[in-house]
Amino acid sequence: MPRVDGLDKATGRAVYSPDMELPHMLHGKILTSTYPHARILNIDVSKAERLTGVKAVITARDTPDVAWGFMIKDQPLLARDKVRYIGEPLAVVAASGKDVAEEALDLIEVEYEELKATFDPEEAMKPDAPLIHEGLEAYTTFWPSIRYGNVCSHVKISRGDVEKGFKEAFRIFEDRFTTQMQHQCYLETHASLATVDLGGKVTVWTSSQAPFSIRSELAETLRIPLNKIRVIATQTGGGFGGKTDISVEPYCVLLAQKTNRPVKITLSRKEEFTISGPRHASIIELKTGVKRDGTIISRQAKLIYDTGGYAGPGPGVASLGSTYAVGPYRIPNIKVDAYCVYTNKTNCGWMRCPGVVQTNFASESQMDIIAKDLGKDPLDLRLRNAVEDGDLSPTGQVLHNVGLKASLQKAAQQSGWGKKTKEKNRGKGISCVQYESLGMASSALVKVNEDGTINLVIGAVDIGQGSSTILAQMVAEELGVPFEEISVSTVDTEITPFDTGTIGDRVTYNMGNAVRMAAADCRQQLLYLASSMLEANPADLKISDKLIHAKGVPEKGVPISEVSMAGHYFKGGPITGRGVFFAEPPAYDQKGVEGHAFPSAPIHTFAAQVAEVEVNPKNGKVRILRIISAHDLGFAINPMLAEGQIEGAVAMGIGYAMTERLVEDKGNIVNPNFSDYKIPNILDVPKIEVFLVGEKAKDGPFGAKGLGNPGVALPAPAIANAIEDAVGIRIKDLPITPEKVFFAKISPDERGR
Amino acid sequence: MSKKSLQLTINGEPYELTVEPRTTLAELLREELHLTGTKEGCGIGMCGACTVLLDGKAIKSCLVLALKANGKEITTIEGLAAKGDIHPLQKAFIDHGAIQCGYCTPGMILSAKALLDENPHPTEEEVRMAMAGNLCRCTGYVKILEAILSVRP
Repeated sequence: MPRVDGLDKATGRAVYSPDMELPHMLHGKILTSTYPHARILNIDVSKAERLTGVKAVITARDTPDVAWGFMIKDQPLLARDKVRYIGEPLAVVAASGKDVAEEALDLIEVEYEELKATFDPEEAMKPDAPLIHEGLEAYTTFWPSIRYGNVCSHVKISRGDVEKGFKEAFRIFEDRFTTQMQHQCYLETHASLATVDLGGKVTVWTSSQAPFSIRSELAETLRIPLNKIRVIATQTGGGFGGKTDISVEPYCVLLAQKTNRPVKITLSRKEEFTISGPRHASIIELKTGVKRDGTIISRQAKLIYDTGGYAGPGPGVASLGSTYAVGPYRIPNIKVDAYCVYTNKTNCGWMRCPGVVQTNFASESQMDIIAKDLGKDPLDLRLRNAVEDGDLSPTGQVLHNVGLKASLQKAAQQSGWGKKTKEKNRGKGISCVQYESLGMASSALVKVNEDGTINLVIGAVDIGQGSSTILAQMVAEELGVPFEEISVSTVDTEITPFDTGTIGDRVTYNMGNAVRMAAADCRQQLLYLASSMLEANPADLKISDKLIHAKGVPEKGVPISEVSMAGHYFKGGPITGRGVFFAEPPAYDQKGVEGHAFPSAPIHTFAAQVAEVEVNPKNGKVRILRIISAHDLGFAINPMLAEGQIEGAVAMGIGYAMTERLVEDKGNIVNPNFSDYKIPNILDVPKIEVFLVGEKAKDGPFGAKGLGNPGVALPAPAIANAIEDAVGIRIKDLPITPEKVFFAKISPDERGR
Repeated sequence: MSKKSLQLTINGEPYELTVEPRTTLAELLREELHLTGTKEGCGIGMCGACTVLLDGKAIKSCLVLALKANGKEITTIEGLAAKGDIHPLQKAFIDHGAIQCGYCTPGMILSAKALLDENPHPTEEEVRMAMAGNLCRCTGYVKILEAILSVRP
C-alpha cells in the first residue's frame, strides 16, 4: 500500500515550512552568543535598529520574563542575565530581506563578562566546578526530580542487592564506554512563519513533530491563551526527535507581534548544528557479575549524559537510559545511577531512541566481552538471559508481548550465525535491544460525508514515517470501506483534536487505538441509521465494501453514501465518530525508583541485529558487508512502510557507529556542515535485510506497536562486536573511526586470521 | 550591485529575467520563481536536495550562480510530470516506498533521471556511484536503490 502523500512528494508539490510565504513577509535572523559562559553586561541594538530595512530588534528585555523547558524550567527564550553556551540566542531581528537581517546582527553590540566555563561532565560534577545554573534548586520541574550542583537530574533504580550479587559472581566485568554527540540531520532545517491578527491571534506554520507541544510552549513563553494560538503543521522534512519542542517559532511570533507583519525564520545548516539539540554525548560505566554458566546476576551502571547549557529533555533521556542500562535481560540485582549534567556546551535534545542508544552500545558490547571471557557463544549468552513474558522491567513493570528471543533467533538464523567465516579479517557481531512506546493522549475524529467518503481528522503529524497512511488503513478496515475513500487531515491545532505528538514510537499504538475507536463509533452510528431503512436490528447488520447489510445477505444492502446522505438531510444527523485513547501508565516498583520521569510504559518493543564486517588491518578501515535486522513490532499494518522505518534507523545507526560526531572544542562546534559532519550516503549503507517477527500485541490496534526507534540502537554494538570477531580488538569509544581501529594495535595473530 | 539580464528555459518555458549577480540558481528557482519543489538542505552542495538538470546534467543549484544558466535549459521536479503523466521514476519511488519525509525526493529523482538518460542500464554499483551526492536521512537508501533499479528498461 503506497503512502497517501507519495504523489505530492514525488512531484515537488508538497509544501514544507521553508517553502512558505505570505504577502508583506519579513525575514528573521537570530544573534547567538560567542561565549560559552558569560554574564551579559549590555546589549546595544541602536545601530542595528537604524539600518535601512530593519523593522524590529528584540532582546530579552522585550519578552516576558519566563523560563521554560520541557522538563525543567531553566531556559529563557533569549538569554537574559548570562549565556551558557556558544550559540545561545541573544537577540532576534526582522528585516525586509535575509541579507539586511544578517547585516543587522553584525551591528548589535554585546558586552560580556566572561565566566569560568566547564566542558567536561565529570569535571562539572565536582564540587568546585563553576556553577552553570545558580538557581537550579528553585526551578520548577514536571516530575519529582533529584538535582544539585551541575547535576540537573539524578535518576536512581535499585532492585535486589548488587553487592551480594557481585559476591556470588564467578566473574566480574568492569568496562567504561564513551559516546559522542550525534545530530538528527533531518534534511529540512527548522523553519517557521508566523502572523498575528489585530485581535492578537497568532497563526504559526511550522515543521514540527508535535504541533500541540509547540502551541503549549508558545502559550507558556509568550503568555498567550491557547485558543489564541493556531499552529498549522506543514509537511515535515524529517524530525527524529529534533522537532519536538519550540525552536524558531517564538521568535517569529515575537517579531510578528512587534512589526504587525508576517515573519519567517529558516535556520541555515550551520545554525541547525549549533542552535538545535543533538543527541547527548555520554559516559557509561558498567560493572556486571556473572555466574560460571553465563547467568547474569548483578549489574551496576553509572551513566553520565552531557546535556549542555540547559536541561532540555536531558532528564528524560537519562531516565530512559537508566531503564535500559541493564539491557533486555533478566537480572535480579541492579543498581543504576544516571546523571544528566550541565556543561557550557550546545544544548542537547531528543534524538531517536534517546538515552538507550548510548547504554545499548555499552551493554551489548560488554555482553560480547563476557561471552568471550567465558567461552560462550554471544547468541547463547543473550538467549540465556533474555527477558520473556511475565519478567519484570528494571523499574518493576511486568512485561508482556516480549518478542526478544524470536528477534534474536530470526536475526541469527538469517545471518548463518555459528558458521565461522573463512575469509580473513571478516567477522560477525550480534546485538539486541528493548525499547518502549510512549503513552499519553491521542484523540481522533472520523467524519462520514454525504457521499459516503471519509475524512480522518487527527492531530498527529506524519513526519515521513507513514502514520497518515497506516491510520487511513485502520479506518478503512474498521469501517469496511476502500482505503482510497479515506482522506487524512493535516494538523491544525485550532481544528484537529489533541495529540501528544509524533514522538517516542507512540503514534501507531496510541493514535491507532484512538482512530480505531472513532471509526468504530461511526460504524455504530451508521448501523443504527441504516437499521430503520433496512428494518433490521443494528446488531444484525454489518458493513462490507461500502454496503450496509444484514449479516449473510450482502445482496440486500444499502450503500453508506445513501445512509449518510439521509443522516445529513433527512433524519438522525451527520455522522462523526470520536475516539480518545490515553494509556494509563502501568504499575511499577515505586520503592526501587527515584527521580525517574518515565518509570513505566504501555508497551515494549524488541529487536535484534547481526552485522558482518571486513576490517583492513593496514589502515583500520571497516567495511560493513551486511546487516540483518529482526524486529518485534507486533503486527505490521503496512510492511513496506515498516521496513522503510527500520532501514532508515539502521542507516542512522551506522552513521552513529562509524562517522558521525559533532566535534566540540571549548564549547565551539567545529564541524557544523555536511562536509565535516558525515552522515551515511548510499555508498556507506550495505544491504539491509529486515525481518518482522513477533505476535500481535495485546491492546495494540490490530496488534500493532511502535517501531521507529529501536533500529538505531543496534548497529554500533553489532559492528563493534563484529570487529572484535574479525580482528580481536575492542573499541569502546564511538564513532569507530579507522584511526581508532588502526591504533588499537591489531596483533599479528589477529592479522593472520 | 546592479541586476543583470538572464535568459533561460525552465521546464520548457522561456524566461527573461533580471537577477543580482550573486543570486544562486537555487535562490532564483525557489525565491523568485516560487518553484519550491527544488529544496535546500545545506547550501554547500553536500546534500543534493537542490539538484536540478542543467542541459540534462544533474547539478547542485545551490552551487551554481543563476547567471551561469544563461541560455541553458533547466528541468526541475515540477517539469518532470508537466505533461500530465508522472515520470516512471516518480511512480517507482512511490510504489517502492522510496519516499518518507520527501525532502530529498526531488533531488534524488532528478539525479536518477540524469543517470538513466545517460546510461539506461546501470549496474547497482553504477547507481550507487551516481547517487552518492544525494543524502537521505529517512530511508537508508534501500528502497531508493530498488526504485531506481526497477526503472531500467
